[in-house]
Amino acid sequence: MYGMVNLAIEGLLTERYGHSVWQSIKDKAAPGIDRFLTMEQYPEDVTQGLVVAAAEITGRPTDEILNEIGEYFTGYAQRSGHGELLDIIGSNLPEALDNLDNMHTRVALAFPDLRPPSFWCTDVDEHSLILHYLSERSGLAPMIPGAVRGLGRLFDTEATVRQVASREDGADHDQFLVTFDAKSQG
Amino acid sequence: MIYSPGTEQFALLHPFHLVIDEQMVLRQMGPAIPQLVPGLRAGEPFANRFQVQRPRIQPTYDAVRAMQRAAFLLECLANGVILKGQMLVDEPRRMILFVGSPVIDDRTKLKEYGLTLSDFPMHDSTADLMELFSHFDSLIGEYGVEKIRTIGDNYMVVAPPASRPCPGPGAHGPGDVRVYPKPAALPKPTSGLQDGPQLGSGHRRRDRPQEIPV
Repeated sequence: MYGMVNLAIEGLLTERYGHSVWQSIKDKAAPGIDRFLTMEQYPEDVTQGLVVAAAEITGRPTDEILNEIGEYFTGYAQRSGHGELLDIIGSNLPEALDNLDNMHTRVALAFPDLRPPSFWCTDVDEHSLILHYLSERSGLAPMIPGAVRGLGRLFDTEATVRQVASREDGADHDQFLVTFDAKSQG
Repeated sequence: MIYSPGTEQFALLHPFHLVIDEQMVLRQMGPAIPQLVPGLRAGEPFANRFQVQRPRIQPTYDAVRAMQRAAFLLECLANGVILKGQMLVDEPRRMILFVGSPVIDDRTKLKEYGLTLSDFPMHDSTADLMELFSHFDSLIGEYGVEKIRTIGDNYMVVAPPASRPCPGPGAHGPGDVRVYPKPAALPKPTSGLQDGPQLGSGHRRRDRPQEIPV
C-alpha cells in the first residue's frame, strides 16, 4: 500500500481527534515509522493496524472509522496533487463512478507497484446504480460508502450508499446500491 | 455515420488489435502483434498469451462485456509488455475487439520487443513520447542530474544539493526542453525539494517531492 492512504488516515484522525491522539495511534500501530511518505510502499498490515488502533483508542467500531476514511479520502486526494485527475473524472456522480476504474488504471500505469481495486457500474438509472467493487485486499469495503459520498461532494450531490452484496457473506465481490438526486445529472 | 474503413485500412490504423471469439480464442490480430508475441497464431486461446491486468476480471466474454467502459491493460506473457486499450463487444457476431498499443516509454526497449517505430500508427502518441524522452536522455548528462524514471508521461530527474552553480541568464535551463519538439507540446516542468536521505544509486527514495511549478 502506498503511503498516501496512511497519510489520509493521519489527516483525518489528526483533524478529528488532535495530534496527540494520532501520535498514540501511530505509536501503537507503526512504532518504527517516523512519518509516512506518499510514494513509499508500506506493508498492508500497517494500514489495517492504524484502523484497528484508531478503533481501540477512540472506542469506535472499525467499520465506522473506515467509512470516515473513505469520505475523507476524496478531499485528501484532491488536495494532495490528484486534483487535476479528479477534475476530469466526470461531470456528475454517476459519470465519475463509471470512470473510476479507468482512472485507477491510468494511475496504475504510472505506478506499477500500485494494485488498485476495480470498479464498475450496472443497473444505472436516473436516481441510482449498483457499484461493483473488487479488490485483492480484504476488509476495506467499509471505506466505499464514505468514498462515494466524498466523491458526490465534488458535484454537490448527496449520495446514499447501501451495501447489497458482501464478499464476507460469500458473494463473489462487494456491491453497493448508490442513490442520488436526479438534478446532479445535469 | 456512413463511413467505415475496410479490413486492410483497419489493420493499418490498428496494428496491435486483437479479435477474440466467445470462447476467448484469438481469431485475428493486427500485423504488429506477431512481432511482439512471436509464434502467436489465430486459433490459440487468448489466456495462453495474454493476461488481463486491468480491470481485475477473469477473461471471459461476459466479464469483458460488462467492462466495456473500462480501460484495459493486457500483459503479453512472453515479455511482460503491456498493451493498453479498449475492448468492444460485437454482440451480433459474439466477438470481442481489442484496440490498443504497447505502453513503452523507452526507445531502446523497442528492439528488445521486436518492434520498430514504424510499427506504431501515426495517430498513436507513444512514438512521440519515446522520441521526446530520448532527447531528454541525451540532455541530462550535461547538467549533472540523474534520471530516476519515467512515470507515465512524466520524466523525473534529481540533482544533489548544490552540485554546481546555477546557470546564469542565457545559459541552458528548462528552455532546452521547451524548444522540442514543437511549441504545441510544451512540457510543464515542476521541481521540488526533498529533505530525506541523499539519493544514491543503491538506495533510491521515491517519495514525490513537493511540486513547485517552474
